[in-house]
Amino acid sequence: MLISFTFSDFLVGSPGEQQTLVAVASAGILLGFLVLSAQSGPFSQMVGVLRLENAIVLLERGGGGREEPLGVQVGLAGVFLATVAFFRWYLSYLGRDNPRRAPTPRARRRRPMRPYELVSETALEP
Amino acid sequence: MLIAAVALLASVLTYVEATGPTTTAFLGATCAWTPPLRLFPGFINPIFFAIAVYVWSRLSTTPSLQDRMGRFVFCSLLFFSASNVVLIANHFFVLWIALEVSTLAAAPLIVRAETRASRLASFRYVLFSSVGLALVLLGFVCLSRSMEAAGQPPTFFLDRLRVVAGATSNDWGGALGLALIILGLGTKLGLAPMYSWLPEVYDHAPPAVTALLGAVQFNAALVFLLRVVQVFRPTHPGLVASVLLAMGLVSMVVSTFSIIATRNMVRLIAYASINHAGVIAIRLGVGKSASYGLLLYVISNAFIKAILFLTAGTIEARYGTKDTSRHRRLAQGAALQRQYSSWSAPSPCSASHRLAAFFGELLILSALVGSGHLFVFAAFCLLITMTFVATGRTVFPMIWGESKQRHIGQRQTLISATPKLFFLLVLLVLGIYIPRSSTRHIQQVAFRWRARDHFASGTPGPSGSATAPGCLRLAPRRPRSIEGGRPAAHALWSTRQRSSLDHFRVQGSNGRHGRHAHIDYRRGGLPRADVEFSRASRLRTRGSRADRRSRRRPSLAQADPL
Repeated sequence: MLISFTFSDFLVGSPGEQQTLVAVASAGILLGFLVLSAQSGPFSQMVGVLRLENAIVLLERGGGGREEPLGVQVGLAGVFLATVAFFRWYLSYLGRDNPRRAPTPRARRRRPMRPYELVSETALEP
Repeated sequence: MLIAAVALLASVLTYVEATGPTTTAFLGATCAWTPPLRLFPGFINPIFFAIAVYVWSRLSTTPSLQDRMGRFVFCSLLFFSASNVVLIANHFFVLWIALEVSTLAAAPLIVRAETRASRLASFRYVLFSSVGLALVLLGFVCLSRSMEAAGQPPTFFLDRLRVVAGATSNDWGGALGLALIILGLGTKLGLAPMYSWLPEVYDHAPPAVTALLGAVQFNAALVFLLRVVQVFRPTHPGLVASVLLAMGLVSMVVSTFSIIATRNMVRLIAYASINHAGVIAIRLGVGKSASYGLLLYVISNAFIKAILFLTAGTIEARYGTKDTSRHRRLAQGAALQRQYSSWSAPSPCSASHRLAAFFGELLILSALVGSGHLFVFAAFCLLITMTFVATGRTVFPMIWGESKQRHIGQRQTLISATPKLFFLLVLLVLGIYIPRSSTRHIQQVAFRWRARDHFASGTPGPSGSATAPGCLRLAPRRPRSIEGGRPAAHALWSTRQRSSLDHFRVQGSNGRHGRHAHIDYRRGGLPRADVEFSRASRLRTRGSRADRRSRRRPSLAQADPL
């Protein structure tokens, strides 16, 4: 956050709406990278990418009224929507057949030994 | 059949359009069919056609694959269209959109039926590509801000951007944006540091899709990088050189040690692809946007990758494993007759097919020495040698060693081998004798790319000095063979640069052909003649005087809005 607001001060100069927008967008970009580098699961990484793309669009929208041709804007929006749809597809694919996580042999070795096994609760009652 | 027909039609259209000299802009000038860009569709579309024939032949022999063909056809055609749009786009956002669409179209193709590893690979492909292209988009936003700060109206039309790109030269936002763009495009090319998706994806994707990614999409991303470098090198020469050199060298180091370590046949080729990308990045870092050697290297590697990936798929289908230690005696018996000839052919031992790439590498090495990057030259030579030895250590036993694995699959048919034979034929032609028309076309492309470098930097072009905004005009007089006097002339040039003379001319004659050569040097600019034209000069000296006159390159004085 500190880096983002310092960056915004440096980039925009005069305080105001623009500076806040740039600071928020920069923070979003940095947080997106943080999520991408810290998380390993597919869902978390998708969240990181979407966070990154949202922040870039926010930073781009905060510009000085530059307008691209309509076809280019429609194409950009279409690509973002298609990316989200793809992530949804991957989530259904990768989540559906995700095998139940079995303990690794190393984790199995670390499990404390239990000398007595509880067969059933009713058997212990008189 | 539909994919093959479309690819064939596109190839024919490419060659028909290649004869037209003018630039055609369409779709609101967001796309433009310009002469320099006609080279890439000229070899990408035939590769796509050959891969389509390969898939069709596989379908005819394996009916079980037909269940998934509807999705394959749709995604392939989308991928093909998007890749061609990348090659002709005249707006950076259109380039970006087309590259992203080609990525999204290729992602479902990577998934093999009921294979979780291929789904994960496809996900990683989309993830890395999305991050890389997001970095590119962020770079564009930074450049836009930088142009606004300099008081220039931001634009991403390539022809207008060349005029206003100089406004970003003194701004750190422009430098940051450019570095992010190169880093993001490096991700798509498989350059370090974000290269780890490439071996995994190439390993798990079907062979035809891997060939598409390696031969088609790689070149689409390379065209994007070429255009970025072409626009911004004159304004940020140090930044472009340092970033590309660092990425190229690190990629070569990483790929070399990975080639030494791996025992997976497909991953071996994938790491070799990273190595190729590193070579290209180094050449782009030290030299101009494009040169004859670089273009020759790119073309030959596209065909080599296609043939290697298709053949690796055949070997995997035949033996059921990708482990290189299980494949032996591929060059013996029936295997030699049809199945594995294409595997053994591009191996380092049969250098005839590698001649074009080898010649391209030699030109790249000469450019390294010529530009004074001796450390990079030494590292390049060392890494290339290590790669050669490591590849040979793995590949030679595959071809001649003792057999350990019994084949389990069917032999491939002649139709499925035909695309590989076609690639092999093209490589032979490129390696032994390049047709004069192809040589001339590649030289023209390199010449125009270089001329645009000069135009954007405001320096005199390679053969003239008359340049105007929006209209690149080159003088009809071109340099002749300068091989005899070039070293002395360059030494004199460096001396004169230090002595702050503005303009001088070096004259001399080439003793072998009795030609009079002259080179103009201007302070802050580049000499009129360069090493890329030496091969053309040699070619022109063959034959009679009338032939030489008729074989001269056509005038490049047409107006060109790019």
